Amino acid sequence: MDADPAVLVPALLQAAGLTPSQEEVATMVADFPGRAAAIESLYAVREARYEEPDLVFRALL
Amino acid sequence: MYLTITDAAAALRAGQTTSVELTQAAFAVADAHDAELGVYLSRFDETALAAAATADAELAAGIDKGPLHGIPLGVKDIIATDEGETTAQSLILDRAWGAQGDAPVVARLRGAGAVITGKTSTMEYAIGIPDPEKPFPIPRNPWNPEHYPGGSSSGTGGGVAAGMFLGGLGTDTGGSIRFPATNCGVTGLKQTFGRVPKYGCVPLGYSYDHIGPLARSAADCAAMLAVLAGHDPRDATSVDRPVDDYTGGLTGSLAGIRIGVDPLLNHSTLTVPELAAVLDGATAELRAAGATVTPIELPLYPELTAATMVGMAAEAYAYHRPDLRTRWNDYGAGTRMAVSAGALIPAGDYVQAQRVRRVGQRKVAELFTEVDLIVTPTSACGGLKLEKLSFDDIIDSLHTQYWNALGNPAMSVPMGFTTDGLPLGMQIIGRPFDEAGVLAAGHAYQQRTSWHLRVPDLVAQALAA
Repeated sequence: MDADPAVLVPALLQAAGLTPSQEEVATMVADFPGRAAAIESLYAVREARYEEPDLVFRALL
Repeated sequence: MYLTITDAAAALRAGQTTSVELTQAAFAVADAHDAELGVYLSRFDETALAAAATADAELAAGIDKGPLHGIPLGVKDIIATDEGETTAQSLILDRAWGAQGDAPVVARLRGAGAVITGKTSTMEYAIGIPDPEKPFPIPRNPWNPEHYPGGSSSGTGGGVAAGMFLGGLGTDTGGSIRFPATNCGVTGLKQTFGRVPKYGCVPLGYSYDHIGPLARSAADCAAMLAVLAGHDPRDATSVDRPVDDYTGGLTGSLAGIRIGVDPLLNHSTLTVPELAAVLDGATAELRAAGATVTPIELPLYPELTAATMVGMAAEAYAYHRPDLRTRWNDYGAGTRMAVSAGALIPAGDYVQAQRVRRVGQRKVAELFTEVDLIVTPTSACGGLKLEKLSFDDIIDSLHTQYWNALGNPAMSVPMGFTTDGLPLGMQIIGRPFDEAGVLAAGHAYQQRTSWHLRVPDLVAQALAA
């Protein structure tokens, strides 16, 4: 992920309509690279490339 | 009166005690220690004692509803009950939500004659860390009140350990039954996803949540699961499948059972040096019970742990977004940070987590062609110190989230102590819907050991007095 967390995180929070404190935003910015790395690890799972997601939608209730 | 459910049931039927005596004794422990331990959010003394008296009358008349009849149990306060409010330990939850009355799991316990003593403390909305800024008790570990009892089913775990009830309900989305079980030296079962209905429970992660039992033994958890399990159409994830016999297979023998062990020693920065030796001691007992024990390596360990944390955050955020926008400061600091993390997760990444879960299920199913059960430590260390507690450290310390990604049944049983005197737990995992195998292994282990019968000094001193 190339986007600057210091730009991306506040933008995402604003888009979500959330109003954390500056300190909380700073924590989220600091945590973001670790979270992004965890997400990237999900895409590195080779066998998942053509796998169906474990989501179930039923046409009948 | 520091009994297992199994022993209390026998004592009731032998006329050695009554349900009223058990319930009064449980409340007496709460009177003495709850101000310090923060187990209860609300107590139902009057209705509980009335239910206990009814149980005594029924048993005397030959009406026997099974092993939970007359047994005092606590209920985590994210699960709706007829009595009192359901708060989710939050200023946010609309109290009208809980007015729906007993969740199916509570109704089933009552139908089995159990005595519901009250609502137990939790982390706010089952996620976060204790928050002294909010008007709710701080839960403390009965083994050392300066330490965390684990969460989010903190009150149920601590209450069982302290003897404030003989068992109770918790919930588990990333470890919240097994974490207090390991930290408090009690037994806690997260059964297969969908085995126990979740209707009437405040959600955290819709595809990760479980309601399950905490008690002092695997046999006790088996007795509780026998009542809790079964389909309910009001829960879209509830599985319509016959309920197995969980107590009939508790023979004490593991002859013919193949157990794979992964000590996970390199998957936490908080692993205590004594963990390996304690786990070795535990697996030696499994061998002595007849099992074949071999080393294994869990596939995709960091990835499936990530799949739980990413998916849970996204699902929790969807539920909380309206309140996060308008009532940010009414949330506890730890909870709002944990659930708002979902706002930073693109929808496609949530879907990717669900694809990785299915890959993980296939790989672990392959592993289960070579073994019948898997064993790991439940956590890397004992209960963390409260004054330095952080959500990141909690997540780092746990080896539970992996199984919420997959849905397999997983149970924590006490296996010893750290050098600081804090409990450690062994996690036993089975194939989907093999709760009977998991419980049998825990029972066999507990037939050969006594960790699960140890009493915290806090309570032992009161018992001796």
